[in-house]
Amino acid sequence: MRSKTIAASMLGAAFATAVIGTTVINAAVGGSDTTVQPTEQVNPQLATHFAILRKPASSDTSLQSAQSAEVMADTGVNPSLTRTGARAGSDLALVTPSQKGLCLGSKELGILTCGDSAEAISGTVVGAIICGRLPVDQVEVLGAFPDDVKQVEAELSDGTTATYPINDNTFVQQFDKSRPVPLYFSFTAGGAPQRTRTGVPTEGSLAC
Amino acid sequence: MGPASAPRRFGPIVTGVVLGLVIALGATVGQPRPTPAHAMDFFYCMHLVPPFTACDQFVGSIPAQGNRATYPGSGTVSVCEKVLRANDGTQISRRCANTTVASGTDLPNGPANNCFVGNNDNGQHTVNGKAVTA
Repeated sequence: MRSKTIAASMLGAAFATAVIGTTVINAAVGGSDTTVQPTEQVNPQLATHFAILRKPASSDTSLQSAQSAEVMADTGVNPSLTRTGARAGSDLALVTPSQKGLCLGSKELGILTCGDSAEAISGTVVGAIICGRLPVDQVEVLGAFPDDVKQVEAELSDGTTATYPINDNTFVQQFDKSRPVPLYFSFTAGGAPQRTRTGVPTEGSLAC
Repeated sequence: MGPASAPRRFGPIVTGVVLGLVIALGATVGQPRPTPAHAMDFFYCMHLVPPFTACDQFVGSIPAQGNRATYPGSGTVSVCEKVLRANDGTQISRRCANTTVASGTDLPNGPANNCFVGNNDNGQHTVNGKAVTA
């Protein structure tokens, strides 16, 4: 009888540790990074603002593994739904639907950033690659913009401005670090003026 | 065996469940960060970072295959991620973007590396770091 009691206790302990304990531990870590299934479709609301999402997904299956999307898995990004955007030299901007909105990256440099639907529609899914798999004297700037943004005005590091067209809802361009680089983009999205950082740091060196 | 004996029969199991829960809770107390949420993800920083400042780092014994910075609050804040190769300090990834930014294809399989995240805004903000290892 005593051995049965001990066995039953151990069985219960094992069950609680394995099932309940796992849940408790994960919650204690922060619960900020939960498993999210890759989205199976483009967000319909987002598609009304992004022509690129109304196009079929790219048939180039090499784009799926090229993005290194694992670190963004909790957004529900699905590389098999990737759309190709503007081109800059040999690189190509990529827009990839997620559960929350979309992710932006490039064929050569992988996923850069993701935003939810509100961020995407406001045109703030923008970022820069300062060091990585590109020449050390170059910085690449990427952005995703809704249909009504046809161009952006950039504030450059020397205080001047420049205007860049938006093609296929995307901006991608490499800049020489020794020359003026864009620090902010200004544009109008949904009738509202926007000004956002490009991601290029305004403080410190750009050296790698 | 009547109905009255049922509670006694399940008593050891209930005791075990309570014991297991205590063990599970105990495992979470005093656990240092970075802490794996599962086998491959390590979370670090996760506190307020001064303007234009890098946060503490994740140093892995195996190479990180991905590094990510995320601003968890509302509004738009630019954040950065940076990765140094541990054996020579070479900066192999540095990227900044609004709300969240990832290292993409920058991190090759090779020597272990040190991951950083940072605040690329002129206000103080919380920045969450996440390193993914194989």
